[in-house]
Amino acid sequence: MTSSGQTSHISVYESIGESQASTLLRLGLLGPRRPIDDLSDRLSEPGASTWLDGMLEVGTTAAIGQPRSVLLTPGTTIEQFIKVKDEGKRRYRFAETADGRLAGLAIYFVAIAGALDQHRTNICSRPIDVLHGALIDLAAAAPGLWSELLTRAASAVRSART
Amino acid sequence: MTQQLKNDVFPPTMSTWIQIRMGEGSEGLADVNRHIMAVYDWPLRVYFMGSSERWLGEPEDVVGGFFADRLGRPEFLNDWRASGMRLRRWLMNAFCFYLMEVRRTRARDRRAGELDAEPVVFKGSPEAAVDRAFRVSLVREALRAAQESCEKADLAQHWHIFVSHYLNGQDYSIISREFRVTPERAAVMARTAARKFRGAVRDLLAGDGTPDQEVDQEILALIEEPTS
Repeated sequence: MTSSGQTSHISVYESIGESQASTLLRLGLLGPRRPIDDLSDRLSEPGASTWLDGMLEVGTTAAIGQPRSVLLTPGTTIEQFIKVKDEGKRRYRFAETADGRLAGLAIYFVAIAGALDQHRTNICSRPIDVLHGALIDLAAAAPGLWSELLTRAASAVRSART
Repeated sequence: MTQQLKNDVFPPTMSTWIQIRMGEGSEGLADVNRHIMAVYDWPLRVYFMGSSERWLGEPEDVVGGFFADRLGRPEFLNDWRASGMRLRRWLMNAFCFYLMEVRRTRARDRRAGELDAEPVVFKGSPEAAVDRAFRVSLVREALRAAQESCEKADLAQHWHIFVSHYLNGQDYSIISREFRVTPERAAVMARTAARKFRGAVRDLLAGDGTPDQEVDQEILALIEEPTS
């Protein structure tokens, strides 16, 4: 942004009154933590992309093929995505560490996102609005290609087959 | 915050930053003072304008004089940290004493000593008025900080979309056309910037002296303070 752009925003800030300040201040709330909030925080940390790659290198995704290709490029079947998603659920439930649980949750969501992106098919039973919000939240925190995948999935979710 | 600290992978919270900078001599203290003046100038002006001492001068001059006097004292912020009080309350109390000092000086100059003992009177609750002004000042400063943070991270467009949606109330379907992205992409970009804003709000409240585990409560208390 140019310095003039910055100046124009700052003049907008000066016009903020008490009522609008209250509305904006709500954005500062963390509120009750959902598991995806913890995952969003993990995905926004430096090195998150390497972390996720590492978590995908073992288990179902790696057994199907090169993990990034499995999830990000066409060629993976619905059944394979369901297997990856189910593995994510298992890892989330049975992991012995917080990081392991987050990895399970990440795998669960990228599998759902991959199926939405490649097949326009929703492979989970979450309500559409809840899933859409979760994908947007995760995409806002995730690095590079993962953010793009989650965003495409959010775009596809409302018209997806179930 | 200084450039070096801002570029750290894990930047310190505002309260830690204040503590660190306070220990770094006059330059560090000047940084802390600039931060304090940016956030607390408006709440103190509001306090002054509602007080019985409004006759003492123009708000910017009187509040500026207060900052110059108190922030120039090396023990002032150390005493605040030891007090456990919110910084806005500490400053308000100190400002009240300062106003009485200024009044005494004026009274002595005019040989009108009978005013010396009068307390500062405020119409309504001074705490509530200062909190309402702090709410506005905090949001403005958090917006500036988050914008700067987005620009440094090459997320200037994310910030534009945040402003369009959250400040100007534009729908993502309209924003998406302007920025040539899908509505979902616009929502993702706005939320990325919103995370920066949330971090800035929480950081400023930590700098005011709110413990981490109480930040949500503090935000709710500030929101629930009725508008004037």
